[in-house]
Amino acid sequence: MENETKEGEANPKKILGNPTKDLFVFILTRDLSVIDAINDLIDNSIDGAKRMRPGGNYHGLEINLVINEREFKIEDNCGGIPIDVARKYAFRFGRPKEMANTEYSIGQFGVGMKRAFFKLGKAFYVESTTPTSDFAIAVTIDEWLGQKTDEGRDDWSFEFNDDFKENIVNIAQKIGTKIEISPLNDDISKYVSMKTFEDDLIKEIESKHMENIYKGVVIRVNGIKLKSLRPEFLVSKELPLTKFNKKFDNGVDLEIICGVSLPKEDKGGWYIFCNDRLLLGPEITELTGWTGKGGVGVAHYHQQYWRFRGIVYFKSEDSYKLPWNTSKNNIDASSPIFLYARGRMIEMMRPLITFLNLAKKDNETNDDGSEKEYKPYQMMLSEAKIVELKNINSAPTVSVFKVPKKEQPVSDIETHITISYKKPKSIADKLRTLTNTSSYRELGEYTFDYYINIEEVDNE
Amino acid sequence: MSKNARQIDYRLRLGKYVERRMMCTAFQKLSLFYPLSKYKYIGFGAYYFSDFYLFHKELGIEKMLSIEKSNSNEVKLRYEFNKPFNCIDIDFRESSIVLPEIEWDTPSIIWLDYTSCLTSDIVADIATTLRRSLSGSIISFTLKIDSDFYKDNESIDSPIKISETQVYVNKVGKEYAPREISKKDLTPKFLHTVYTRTINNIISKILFERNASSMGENIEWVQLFNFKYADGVTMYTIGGILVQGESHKARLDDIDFDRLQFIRRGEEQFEIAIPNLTIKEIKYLEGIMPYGINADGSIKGEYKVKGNDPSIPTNDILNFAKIYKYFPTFTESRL
Repeated sequence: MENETKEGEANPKKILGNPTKDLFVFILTRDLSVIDAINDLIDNSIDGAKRMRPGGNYHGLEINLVINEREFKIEDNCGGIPIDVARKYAFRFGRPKEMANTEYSIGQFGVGMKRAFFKLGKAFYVESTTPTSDFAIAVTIDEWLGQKTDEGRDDWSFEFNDDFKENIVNIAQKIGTKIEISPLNDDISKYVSMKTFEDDLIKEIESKHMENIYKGVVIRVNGIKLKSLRPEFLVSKELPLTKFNKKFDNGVDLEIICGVSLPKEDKGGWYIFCNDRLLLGPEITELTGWTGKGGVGVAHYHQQYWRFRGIVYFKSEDSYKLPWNTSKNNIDASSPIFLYARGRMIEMMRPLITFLNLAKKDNETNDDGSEKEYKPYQMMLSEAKIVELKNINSAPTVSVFKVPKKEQPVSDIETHITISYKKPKSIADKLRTLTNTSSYRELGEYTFDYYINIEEVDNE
Repeated sequence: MSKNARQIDYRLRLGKYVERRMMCTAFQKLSLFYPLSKYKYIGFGAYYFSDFYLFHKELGIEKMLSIEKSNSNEVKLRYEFNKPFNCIDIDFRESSIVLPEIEWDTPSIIWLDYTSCLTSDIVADIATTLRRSLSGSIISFTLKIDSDFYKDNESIDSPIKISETQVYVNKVGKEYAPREISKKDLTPKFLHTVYTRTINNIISKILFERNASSMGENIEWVQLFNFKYADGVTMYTIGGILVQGESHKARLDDIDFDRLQFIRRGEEQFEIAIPNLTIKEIKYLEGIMPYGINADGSIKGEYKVKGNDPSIPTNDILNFAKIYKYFPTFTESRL
């Protein structure tokens, strides 16, 4: 800083605009949660897997996490960081333009890994082995913050440990990356020691990485193997999935699939993915069209819609074009491609909402409290079969779901309602004498009809 | 819809009659986009199907869908009986259910001829039609102008009163209601401008969504109609065409809708006022059209009836001159 101030004095027109290290260590880390930070590091491993296996079969790849109040560790066999990538790009703040792109990557902004280190701990250690190189870096963040160049300016660089190697041949079993963060920041240490933390973390990773776990990568948290929580659908010929595909001019692919499933409160809603990484979901707010009355979407999410499932995939070779924020936990709601998708999502879910409303009506009792005998829409649900997402291509699909019209047996439930109200007994008795009616019920009907007659209400 | 369908014989409503004829004239021009037989007509036919009758006969449209909400079997049978042509499909569910289920794979002429004021359900219908219709489609919406609808009737007994503006926003939905609405805007004279602003908000937002997908040729809305007429209740119709791509834009230029004098591109309305004329007067005025009338409604000297001036009020003459091409031919008959 001293030096920079001097520089400023030397040229009085010059205004300083360079960032400080504190910004990265203490400020930008506030925008993400501990779990977001850990997911960011998993994203890096997944991007390694994508470079190794562009075809998307991740069987045999593993990511192991250990977290407790003392330390955080993540270790993978997903290809390692090439030494030149580490030297020139991986540890920089922000992504240099000349850096080669991983196609369909999750990482994009060049902030995730560093920000995660700063968020979680006071010191970090990275060790990575590729088929032709290996290196290790150990950094104590406090020391790095005070690190200056010979000219007295902030020194942003890191250094490999002495034993790094290039142009060698490593055996496959050694290849991978290991990151250790220890000691943890005091707040984080307390936070992760909370009893529910491990469960929350597992749930979150199982959901955010459901596609990648499904594609074969094994993720473990403190030894526990995670499951893929991909949504399932109930499908039949009468109850097909609604599907929509679109390729945007900028190269982003959009796929929307929606349908119904088992009624589960915490599973209903929309799931939005960017390059197979879940950003949001199940999403049940205005953002995905649950605007409620007064909005142009559908009703607010509530029990009768627990069966709704919708999936939105945005995919792009160039992940910069996808509508995600840097924490990868939200969508850029003003992004034109998202707004386009939202419009479609609303149109696609409307007929399903109509269907679910009808299915709910089936379950309502008759006026006398008896159950309905004919429940055509419930029948459709019970006749449909569970289909996992992986078998979706063989399931019947349509571009617009049309709710089958079922002839309801004629009854007056639809057209008649019951009115009840309280009035003083003395007056009611007087009226019964005057109207010559034999019951209060009859009196109610009489006065109702009387009004219609007198006011000449069109009662057809 | 059904209550309305019973109450009103649309054939006898002259404002509506003239409006329908004018719209039909505009629709004829669509043949520059697609053969008219390729178009699908979507409307609310009621029992009289007047629009369906006219558009099938005049435009040759065969794909026709009438939306009529009804639960009662007798009513449904009556609608089916009154269908003038068998190419008309009737869907007896609410428009908000029917519209999202349409495939929208052909160009369409859509006329959602509501009998009520603007509500959020109607806003959703408008959004759906704008989102899904192809280039070359004409979409129109008719709404009732009734300021009382936006008065706060629900909290009459409550000490806290909601302003008309808030009632409007509550009924129409905050997503598209204009940011600033004054009390004056919601009076009968100006309510149509609030409708237009609301609908323009829907249009701009929905088209932004649609155009997000294309880097080149944007789809655009070109307003064509802004009618006002009162066959008893004042009604408002706004309509326009969706166009996308150079060739469609060139065709729109070729059509030159502005040659039709009832075309209105903005907030200014074309008012259909029915002149009060006898059949004899109508025949006389028709005889001197289109050149016999001055801008102030007086009859040019050489066209005057010598010795027996009918003394028709200039206001009626002007109103007649505006709409005479679309005015029904009357005959007296005794059956």
